[in-house]
Amino acid sequence: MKRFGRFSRGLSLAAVLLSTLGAALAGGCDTYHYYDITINSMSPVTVTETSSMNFCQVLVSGAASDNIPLTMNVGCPPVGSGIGTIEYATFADSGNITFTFNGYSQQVDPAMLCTTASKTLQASDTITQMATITLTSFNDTNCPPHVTTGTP
Amino acid sequence: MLPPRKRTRGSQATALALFLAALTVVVSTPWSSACAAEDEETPKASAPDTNQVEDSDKPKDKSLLSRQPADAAVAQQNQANDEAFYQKWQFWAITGAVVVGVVGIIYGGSKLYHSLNGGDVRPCNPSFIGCYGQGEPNP
Repeated sequence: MKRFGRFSRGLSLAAVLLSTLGAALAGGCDTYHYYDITINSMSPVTVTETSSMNFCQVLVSGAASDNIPLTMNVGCPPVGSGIGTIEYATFADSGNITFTFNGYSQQVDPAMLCTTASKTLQASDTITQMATITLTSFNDTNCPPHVTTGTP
Repeated sequence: MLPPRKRTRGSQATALALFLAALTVVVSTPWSSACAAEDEETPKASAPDTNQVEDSDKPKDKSLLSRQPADAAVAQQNQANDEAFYQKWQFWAITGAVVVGVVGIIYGGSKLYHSLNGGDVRPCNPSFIGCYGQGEPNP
């Protein structure tokens, strides 16, 4: 009976230790924060110009860091003035997060950079923040339009 | 020669018959010496020996001789002590409880861990061109 008692106490101790270990592993608490970034263009940038961009990317910097490529059938090349909206999820809830849109004619190359624009947001406890990046300039030298006619 | 021989054999048979009859009478007679000898060899158990039959230490109260519940409990306890620990139902009850508890802790702990680490990212809005960042399937 004493052996059984010791065995029972051993099992109970193991269960307590396992619980403690699980609680220790579960330390920390993260909450997703979402940033809905809408990208569009406006005059004087025309759809004809933006349609020449074959590779786009959104760089995330600051409180979060990421590189989001937007390739064929995923926002680039744009089919209109509104490129679209991306949602970026991060646990960051403090500091500044900067979203930078870069449009290239073919690939990531400063000589092929067509347009760039950015937006900085203050990370906070807000679950969802929305912002708009508007393209207001276009480098026709780096990205000559494919079509001579178009409407803004 | 033949007649005298017949008479001799008949007289011998007669004498032998008489002897056997007398011997039978002597043996079967209770007061004969033969019976007396047998009677003397019989055990004297017919006479009760009070010292051997009666236990003076045995209590007169029969209730004291009956098995008490405590005796049964002690006997059962002794039998239980002889069992190995894995033969006890308590062992399997506690083992089962511990196994269920460990599985519950692992399952609940993983769920809690996942929840404390943000849980599941919310579904992507189909009108968006993509969802990215932590927890998202897109790189």
